[in-house]
Amino acid sequence: MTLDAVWSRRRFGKRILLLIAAGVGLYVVWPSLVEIFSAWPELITLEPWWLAMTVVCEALSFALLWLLLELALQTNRTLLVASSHLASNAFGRVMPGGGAAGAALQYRLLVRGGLAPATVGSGLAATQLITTAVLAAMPLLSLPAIVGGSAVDRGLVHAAVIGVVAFAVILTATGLLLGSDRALLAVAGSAQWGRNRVLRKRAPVQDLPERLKHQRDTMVHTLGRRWWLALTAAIGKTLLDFFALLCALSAVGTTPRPGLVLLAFVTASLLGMIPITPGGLGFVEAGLTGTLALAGVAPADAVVATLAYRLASYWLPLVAGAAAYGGYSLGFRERVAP
Amino acid sequence: MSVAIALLVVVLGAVLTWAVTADVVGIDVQTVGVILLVAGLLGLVFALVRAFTHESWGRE
Repeated sequence: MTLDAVWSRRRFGKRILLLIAAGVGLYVVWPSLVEIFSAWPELITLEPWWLAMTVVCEALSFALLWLLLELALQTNRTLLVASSHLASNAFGRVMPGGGAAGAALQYRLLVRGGLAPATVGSGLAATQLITTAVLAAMPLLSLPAIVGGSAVDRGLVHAAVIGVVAFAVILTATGLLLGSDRALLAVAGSAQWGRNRVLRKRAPVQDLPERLKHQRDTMVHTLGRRWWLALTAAIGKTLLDFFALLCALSAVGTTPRPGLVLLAFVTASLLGMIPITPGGLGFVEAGLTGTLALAGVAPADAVVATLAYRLASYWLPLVAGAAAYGGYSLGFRERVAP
Repeated sequence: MSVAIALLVVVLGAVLTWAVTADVVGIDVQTVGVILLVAGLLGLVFALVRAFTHESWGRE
């Protein structure tokens, strides 16, 4: 059997495993999904003004992410950045274990669109790092509500603690990798050693530490001059996503404490990162409904608000992603990277 | 209006809309919040259009 045949069988096996995991995951959360989708007719009873605001906030959250991507990728080509992001985002939300598949597609689309592969690699990594750090830092805004002594559910306090610890870890690791050549070379050297040990039949990688150091220096140079705008875009992206949820709750006619809704939002966002079902489908709905109830929202209202929020943050971007891929295919023919 | 200022107005509007429960005589705090929220979102749209069309941070 040839090496290609072995790899193709392994890839096939991996896809089957991911499909089985997605199937089991969907089976587990199916009752919650059915409950949420059965509330679909109630959407027409919501305040249309707040429903429209939910969509506007979500659209602007996406636009701020494109601004961050443009800064990290050192390009002004908004159409390329936006269409590749929308298409890969949609792809990642329909494929089991889709986060990695979506990122790989985004990389391919950007490189095929004419951007330099090294810049795309470091730019996408920087964007992912900044947005994850900002999301992890969000529970800090809820600390006044927790420290203030008001009654807060234990589950939400746990979410806040996890977020703050994750933020501290990301901040420390990022500071080390940005500030110390020794730390970066040691981490990259270990990753290279591990990769070469696991993938023994592939050609060994020799220059990973040097390549990573070069990409890091390029990224620091690029974002260094515009770090404030990159940080503003990352914070704005997460805040507007959160405001979309608050708008959805207002559309239902409920006004819970925003500090506790923030914790519910962070919990749901973290659940969305678990790559069991495509885009966290079912897990996010069940988690958000449950945590909103812990934040003081009536269960029936939590179900409808979750449906309205996911309509703007999950289902509409899927449709936009399909259209964006069509636009990308028409607009960006094969180009050679500079 | 820059992206940062527009976001600041949005956040101020959001705080007044959802977080402030105090009553001020003669002023509907929630309505003021919604007005700021909408103004901030409109400002953000203009700031982003300007950033995407006029700013230059690429190497091309």
